Amino acid sequence: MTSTLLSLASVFARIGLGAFGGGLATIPFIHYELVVSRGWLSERAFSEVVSLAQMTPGPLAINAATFVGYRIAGTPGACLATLSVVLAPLALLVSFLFLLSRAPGDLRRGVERVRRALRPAVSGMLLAAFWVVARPLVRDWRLLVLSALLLLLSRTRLFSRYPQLLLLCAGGVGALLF
Amino acid sequence: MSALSVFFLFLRIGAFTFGGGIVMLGFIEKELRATGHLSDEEISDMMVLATAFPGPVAVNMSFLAGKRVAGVAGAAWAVTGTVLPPFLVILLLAGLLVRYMGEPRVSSFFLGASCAVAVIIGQVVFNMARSSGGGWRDACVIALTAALILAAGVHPFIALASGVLFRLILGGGGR
Repeated sequence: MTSTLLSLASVFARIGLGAFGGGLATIPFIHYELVVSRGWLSERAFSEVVSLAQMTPGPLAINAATFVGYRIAGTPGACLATLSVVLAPLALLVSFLFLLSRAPGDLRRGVERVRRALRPAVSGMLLAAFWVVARPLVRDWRLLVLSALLLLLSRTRLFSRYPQLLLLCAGGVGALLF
Repeated sequence: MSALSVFFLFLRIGAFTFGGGIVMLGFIEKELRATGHLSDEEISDMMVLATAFPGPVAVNMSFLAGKRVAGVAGAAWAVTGTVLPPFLVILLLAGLLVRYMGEPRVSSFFLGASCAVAVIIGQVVFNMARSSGGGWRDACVIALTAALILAAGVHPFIALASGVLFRLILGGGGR
């Protein structure tokens, strides 16, 4: 049990530290750590976690940490995984702020340059995230038709404002048809 | 601001921002501006830091803003407020989901929902590609980063770092 908790903490600390760009851009990262490298989730379960995270409030990484932590080690696991994913990157930020208070000018310019260079790299992560989620769908033409319909629906004002409504409708259709 | 009002401000942010990441920055920005305790310049400085650093963007943002308006205690309250709603919602749902995840109806519900997720991510990618001002340099970096993950199967962190490094080497324009 202790070793399970320890590996939960270290995996989610790593996910927190690698979660550049936040939100959907962190999908390839979480996928790699939980599905490819650890096998804690199947491809199917991973996409269920991502959908669940999109329907519930809050950052994807936190939603994934709470859920996977719970599945693997109950409520203590959920608490520990969530704390790890939040505190590890905050520790990094705090140490940087400390350095920034010592040497403001250069570091500030450095951060701005890195942030600019991060933009396209994060877009690349998003592209990879798209494929991670879309790959299991292209095998079934019914899912492709549903996706095309959802694309049209998502352009309407109601659904572009409340994307989680789009997810619920899509889920409803899925539950009825498949 | 008092620690308690900081807590409730971020509790609201944590409870009403769906999707996370850069998408929720707009909402956070509006809420912070409405408090009247932060200037526009301070807010945009915080956003630069929050997005340049790893970790959930909303958490970084709440830490920085909480610290600015109410010191270290404010930062702790702000982070707690942001994390608590998503944590509690998933914890409440997790027990049910772990029990029913294998059920065929539940599986097909999530299969349908993942179509919507793919559509949403597809649109974010499309909008980002359209609005990125860096031209061919950005396009190369986007392709390299994605290819390293999808085709070469390297660890996403290495792909991301290579992308950033490559972009710094290419130099030139970009926002």
